[in-house]
Amino acid sequence: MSERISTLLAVAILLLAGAAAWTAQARPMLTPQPASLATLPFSLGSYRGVDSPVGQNVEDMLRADFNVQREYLHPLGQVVWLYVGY
Amino acid sequence: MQALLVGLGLLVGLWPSLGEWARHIAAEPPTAYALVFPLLLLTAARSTPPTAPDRTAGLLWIAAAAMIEMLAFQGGIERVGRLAIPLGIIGYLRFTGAAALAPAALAFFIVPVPHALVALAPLESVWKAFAEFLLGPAGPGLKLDTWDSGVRLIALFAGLGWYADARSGGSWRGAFRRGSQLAMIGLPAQLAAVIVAVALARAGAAGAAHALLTHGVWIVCAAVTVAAFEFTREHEVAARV
Repeated sequence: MSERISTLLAVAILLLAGAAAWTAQARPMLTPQPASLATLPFSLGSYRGVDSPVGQNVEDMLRADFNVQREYLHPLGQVVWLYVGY
Repeated sequence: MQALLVGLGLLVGLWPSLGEWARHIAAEPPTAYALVFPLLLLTAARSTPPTAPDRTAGLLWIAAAAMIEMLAFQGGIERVGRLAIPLGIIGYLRFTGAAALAPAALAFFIVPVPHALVALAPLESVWKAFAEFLLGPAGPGLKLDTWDSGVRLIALFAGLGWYADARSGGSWRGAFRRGSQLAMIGLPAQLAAVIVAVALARAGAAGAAHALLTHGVWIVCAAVTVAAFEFTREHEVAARV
């Protein structure tokens, strides 16, 4: 391979990689909306949910953008705890 | 002319990775130790004799750098793109014949040790406990973090050892051996730094203790080690004359 061709090849490879990386960087960032977690249904079949917020010390430790903690009760007494942190 | 073209191509092509690398160092001040290595790489490359250009090997290194950058950025794991920087530099130095592999491989030390690796060995609490056993409690003003484990200094000393051997014209095997030997100073040096920091904190200078652990320790270690190498080297040269 001649010196000129190998130089052009090296530059082309680098510019291609740079262009691909620039393009990827220019893509708009995904902006998650964790607040919509609060719209999770309170009624799931026969279960009825009530919010049971996590304590401030737990929130500080978890450092999640949004916490949902609920207690879903069945009329027969079964309880399901739900926690989602984002 | 060819060297200039490839150099410019390298700068433009790896600019996204270089930007990510710079942002990482700005966001994590303890990683600033890696800034020593561009200077040492330049010194080693300039002070060792150039080699015959190896265009095929150079192209392969450059292609590997390009591939890693593309995968990292397209895959959303931009921090992996930092690895493209040393590969690209080695590719450039081999392509142009500006430096042999041993000095060129110093480029790997430009990439700071990943935080995940530093956090693997949470030795900072051990150093602090030992220092407090010797001197007494440091007080609440001194908080050590994972960067104070000593892994960062192991990488620094490994790179300094590599530099010392490569600058003397050694092979990459010799550089690896010397780097491995010098890396063993990392942990004792970190312990010494923590002892001094605890002493400073006990004397009411918690700010100075924090500055020592963040930057002081690597600056002192790098300056003293490089000065010692240069002094020894000059004496060796003088003895030969």
